[in-house]
Amino acid sequence: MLAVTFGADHVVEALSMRGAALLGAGSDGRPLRESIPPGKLLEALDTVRRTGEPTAVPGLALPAPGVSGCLHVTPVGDGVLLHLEPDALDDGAARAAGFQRLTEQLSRALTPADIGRLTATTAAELIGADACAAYSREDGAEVLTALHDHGLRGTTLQRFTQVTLHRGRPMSDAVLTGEPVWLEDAVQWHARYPEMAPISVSEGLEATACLPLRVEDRDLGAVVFSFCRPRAFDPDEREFLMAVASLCAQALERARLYAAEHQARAAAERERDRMTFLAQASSLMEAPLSVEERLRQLGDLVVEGVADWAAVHLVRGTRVERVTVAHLDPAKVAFVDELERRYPPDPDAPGGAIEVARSGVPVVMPDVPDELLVASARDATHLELIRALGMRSAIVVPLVVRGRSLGALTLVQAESGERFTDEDLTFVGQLAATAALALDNAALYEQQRLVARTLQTALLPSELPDVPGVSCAGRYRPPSPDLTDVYVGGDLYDVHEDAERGRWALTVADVCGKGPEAAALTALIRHTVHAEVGHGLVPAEVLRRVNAAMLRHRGGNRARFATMAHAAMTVDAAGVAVSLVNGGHPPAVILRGDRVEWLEVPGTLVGVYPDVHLDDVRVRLDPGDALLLYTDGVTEARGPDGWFGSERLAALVASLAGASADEIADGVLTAVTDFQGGRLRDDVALLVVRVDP
Amino acid sequence: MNETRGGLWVDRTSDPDRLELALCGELDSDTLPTAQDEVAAAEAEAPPLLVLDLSGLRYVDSTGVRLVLLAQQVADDAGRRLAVRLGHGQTRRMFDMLGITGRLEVLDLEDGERS
Repeated sequence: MLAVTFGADHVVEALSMRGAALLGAGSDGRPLRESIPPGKLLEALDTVRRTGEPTAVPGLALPAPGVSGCLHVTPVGDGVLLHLEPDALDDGAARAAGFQRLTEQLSRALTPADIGRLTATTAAELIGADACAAYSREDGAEVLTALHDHGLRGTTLQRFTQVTLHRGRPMSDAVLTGEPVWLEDAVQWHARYPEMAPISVSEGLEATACLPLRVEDRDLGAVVFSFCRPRAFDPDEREFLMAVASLCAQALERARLYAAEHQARAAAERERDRMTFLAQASSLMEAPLSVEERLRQLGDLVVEGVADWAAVHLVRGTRVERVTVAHLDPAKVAFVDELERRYPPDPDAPGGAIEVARSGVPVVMPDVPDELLVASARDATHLELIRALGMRSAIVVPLVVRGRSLGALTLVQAESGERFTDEDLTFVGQLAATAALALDNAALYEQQRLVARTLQTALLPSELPDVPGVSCAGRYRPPSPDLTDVYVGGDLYDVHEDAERGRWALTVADVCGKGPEAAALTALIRHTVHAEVGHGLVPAEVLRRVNAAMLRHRGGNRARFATMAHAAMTVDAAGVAVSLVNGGHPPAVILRGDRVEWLEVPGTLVGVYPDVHLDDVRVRLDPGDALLLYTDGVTEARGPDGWFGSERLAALVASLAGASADEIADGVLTAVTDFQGGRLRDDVALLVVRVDP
Repeated sequence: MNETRGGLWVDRTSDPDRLELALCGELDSDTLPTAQDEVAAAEAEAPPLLVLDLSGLRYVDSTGVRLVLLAQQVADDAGRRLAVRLGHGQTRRMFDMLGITGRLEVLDLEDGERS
């Protein structure tokens, strides 16, 4: 069918798509007299209306390529029905050309919707169907979904966008049996589908072909061609329609594979993006930042690509505190801050971060139901404000380390319209695990810092005692400034009073190695020196006791040794008398005026050999003279200019003539640090005593 | 010859009555594990004399002393000999300062002597 008209001007009452294309008529309600040129066709319409006798206009050339035929004009009430009967002679050729065209177009179609449209328009036109609909069926689904329908406006077809499969209906039968259903006229309709016949026939569709869309044994849907007039589907026509259906089915299968591949690629890309994201997150967790700052930056990272909102809560004692909330729009963050200030969060709210942080059980909310907002709102204003956040979907995962929940990570989707599902739990869980581990490391770091600080106070004097007539300065510097809080080195300096004998003990020691083991030896040395000095032993004897104590402690293992410079200092009216022993330690430096003397005293390192060679050496310091004891971190310092070395040290100390003990100590420490570009290779300990001038 | 990260090379020569490891480059806490592995491998062969040649080191700190002291202990416990070459530069000065040169069998104790 092409069109049905009414009245003398042939106003279009019904128009098929094909009619619109062939007649150039725009739409219903417009007179054909205005849209078709005067000539044979218009004359035929007028004649039929006047006489009430049907006629045919043979050999009519129509604008669509490959279509020619005999136009039948039949009187209908006060109007006419136009119907095209393709030329029998040209049928084969036209169909072959049309089939070719359809194949080409389908090969370019990528989506099921495009394929449905091409089938319902091009294929329908090709076979002269008045209406056509293509349906797709998802794997084993009981419902077919219309991809496209095309036909008389207002006909039955347009009402069925979803059709439930139901045995005993023509399309369902075609789909379920895999065999086409051919209904050539109203009689066959009534015979085979008595229930359906009245509906279909009353719509003016007399003949129908329902063809299943199948590729191998995969059932992809169906295509239905309908005709206004009875139609004998002869074997050629059946074969042709089945070929069209097969073409359509193959295109759908290709589209399905394409979509599956596309989806797989998208999934792979998403997975890759998430891996990249996790890598970024874990490198962030290793950054030298405070825990709070790391978590804040993690929140900022999350809102750059994973969620619209991110929040982190931490368990602190009996309370759960929000550490950060992040959104790309700072105004929204300010809004939440204000909201939580006005309405402090309820610690017992179900499914919230606080509950998850306590319970350690994650919560996924694909949809944030309004009832939840209503239930958690304190009053109408509060409800309005939380609704304004536009939360659509949320996921809350605990930060769990070694079975203990330290907090919760909350991600919320709002304006992006994205949605979290249970499948996201793995990824968000990994993210939370990264954050939790960093928290745990931070806790361990904190603990290590405490241990280091405790040990260091056991190793180094918090302040040096006041020695009348003498000023003392001690310095210790770990290899890297970042390590100041956690490094436990093996270097030691100390000044200790032997009140009974009116003497002062000076010690600088360097235990080989670092870490807790070295620290334990350093502590052993310090306490042994204190004890033996208290017993009134001379320096060489003190070192022998230290040596013996270390050997006992190490059980004969030679891996750990120490070098020490140790002196007993007595202050008298003329200055200071020093008795010094050196156990394998770098030589002491004496500064007299601007003159530098080396105090080379041979001696054996301590902690290795039961018999050590140690001698006391006496030396006097006059007012203004200074004695510098140091560890090999000074002379062994290496920089771009080579070794720091003893000559450079001597020159440096000479240049500090007249300086105070503190100035000398700082001068040496600064020079050594600068020499190595700010980064020490080894730790450094210094002790300077200067007789007041 | 094995080159390792941190620039320590260990050159190994052996004959029936001695095994000699020549350490070149830098010996500090970063390269100590490599040196220890080499020494442990040499000790496993139980040579009557193990020689550690430190004279070719560009840098050595107390780590090097630790290496020698440990090797000395192993040799003493097993009733074998350990000897060292210290050269006449920084390495020798460090061993002198620590007061242990006289407690080790130093093959190049005198100037120019090679054994």
